[in-house]
Amino acid sequence: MEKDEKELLATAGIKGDESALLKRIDADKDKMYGIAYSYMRNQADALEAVQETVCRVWIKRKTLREPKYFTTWMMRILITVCMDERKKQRREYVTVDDRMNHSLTDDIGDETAIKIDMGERVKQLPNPYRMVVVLKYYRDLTITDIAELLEKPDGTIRTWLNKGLKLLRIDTKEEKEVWEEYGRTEGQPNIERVARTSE
Amino acid sequence: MDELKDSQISKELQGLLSDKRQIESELSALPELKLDDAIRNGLAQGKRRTRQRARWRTSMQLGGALVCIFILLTGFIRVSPAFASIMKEIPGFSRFVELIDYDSSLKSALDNEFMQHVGVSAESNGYKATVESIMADRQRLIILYTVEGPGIDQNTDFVDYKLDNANGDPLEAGIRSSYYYQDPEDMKDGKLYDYLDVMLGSNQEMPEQIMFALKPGEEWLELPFSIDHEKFAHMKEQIDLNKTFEIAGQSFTINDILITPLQVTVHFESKTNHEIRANSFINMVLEDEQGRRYTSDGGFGTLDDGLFERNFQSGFFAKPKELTLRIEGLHLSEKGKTFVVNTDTMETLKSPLSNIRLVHAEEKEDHYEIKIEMQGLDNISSTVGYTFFEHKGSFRDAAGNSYDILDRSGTQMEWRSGEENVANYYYNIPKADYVQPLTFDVDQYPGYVEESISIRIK
Repeated sequence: MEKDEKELLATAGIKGDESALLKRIDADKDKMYGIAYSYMRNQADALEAVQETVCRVWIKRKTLREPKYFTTWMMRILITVCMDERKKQRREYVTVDDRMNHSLTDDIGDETAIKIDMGERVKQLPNPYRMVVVLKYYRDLTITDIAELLEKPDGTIRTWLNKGLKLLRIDTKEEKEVWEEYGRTEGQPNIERVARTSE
Repeated sequence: MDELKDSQISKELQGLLSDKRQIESELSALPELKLDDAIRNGLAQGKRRTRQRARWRTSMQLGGALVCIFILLTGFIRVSPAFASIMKEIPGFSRFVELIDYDSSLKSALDNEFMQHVGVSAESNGYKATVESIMADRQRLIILYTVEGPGIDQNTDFVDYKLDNANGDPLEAGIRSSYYYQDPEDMKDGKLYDYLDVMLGSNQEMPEQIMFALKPGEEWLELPFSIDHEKFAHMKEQIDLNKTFEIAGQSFTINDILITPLQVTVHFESKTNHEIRANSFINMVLEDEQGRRYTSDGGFGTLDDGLFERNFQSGFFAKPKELTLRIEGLHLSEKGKTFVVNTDTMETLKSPLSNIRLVHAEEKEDHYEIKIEMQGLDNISSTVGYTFFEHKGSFRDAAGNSYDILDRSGTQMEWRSGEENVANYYYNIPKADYVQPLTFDVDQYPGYVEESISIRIK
């Protein structure tokens, strides 16, 4: 699809032309699903995230002032939806103790073990680290692209990536230290932990 | 700035790369059809959510036997192009503009500088509440406020409020609040923007002074403010009509119409029918000579009541020369139906419609909450809320004991966005040793007749 056509469709879509909006969204659907799937790691959750994103796109469409930034704008909504979803899932399923035990796997011999472990590890990363790791290493976005999507300076994204990778560290002894350090320094997840233990 | 030390994290990168290949291979089989469905469903869901605005919370502070009915869904309202463009430039104000975006009366009032600035704040224990502005006329009051403090976020559901006159008596009014779906992005400044929509009861006068208070935490924050009556003193148009019409075999009379900047109120009178209960009008709108449509989202009294009134969006500032009332049908149900359930076995033994059934009963601290599901509602049936059981009604157990349904200021219901046309109704019943089953008298349930009516009122 040509750039101009995309902009025309976005403009009409924002004004309430549903079929134009659907066409415009369609042009980005692979990208959207790619991010959602890489983040959620299963089809049902990824589709739900896409659906919720389109829902919010419709509700908030009038807040998009520049139709040419439709893709960025929609991806931002998708990212918020994904991270929100993650928060919900965590509240429901994950306890701190589970996470610690689960992460402390002893056996990390061959690539398969690393791979399986890695998928789980990424899933258990807190945000925003999980999101930046997914965007960078699973969707091949550049630091600058990620910075634009998350509306943060490049430096912040680099710091998050670095921290995310540290939290993924496979050396078990070191891992425990890193997670403990994370627990001491991060405010928000601590609050979540308190909430969880009281559940 | 931390440097990434690749040597230290090579194992991780290797693991990530390997996992990425796995994800990519899973992604190569794109579920095209399901993805298209998700996109279409998302759009439909967005449209519904815009209309239903997540969840309504309606409360009443009414004396006497007045019943306040608000239709839960409203139609789409056209956006005026010049709408509030100046207001949007004021920092923070754009959130309010978004909040009232659905309401053409309020938008038009904003455009016509009908807003009164208040700027009253109160703070305590880290909580802060501010009444930023109000809009008021002789029938309706809008209070735009912000709340911030510990735990106030996009999930904040309901901030408790008090709304009294200068003597400390609660206003007799229908009040709507906390209806917005909040997006985390909207909470960037940590403030919750919301408003109360206060519709005064019949023959109530708008007070000069309002004793308003909000309770975002444990303490009440007092936010008293006064209303400048000069702003609307002469803004009123009254039309005496006295016209009778029939729809779906039921007879109604329009007595008169009151037009003010924030609201148009049409006063109706109905004749009682012993077999059929008229529940609500389908797609009732006022239309002016230019085809502008003003929708209704409820009002005081029920169609079955004798005297009742319905509120419409106001075209006061547009000064329409003509107004026609259009109705496309009538929701109605048969009288004398019962709903019989066993809350122990969760069986629905008798129901006015097979798609209405008891789905959940839960023991709470001092009552049981029962949840009734209405499934498979069509587009017309799902556009209204039903008082399935009579407000403040009662029910009987198999031993003939009568119990009151616990008052919850009206029927509480929810739409579950993302699911097609399912509505859940919640009622509280007292804790007691019931002899099952329980029999409830049914007030309203889905059903309608389509018939188009138009009545010139101006």
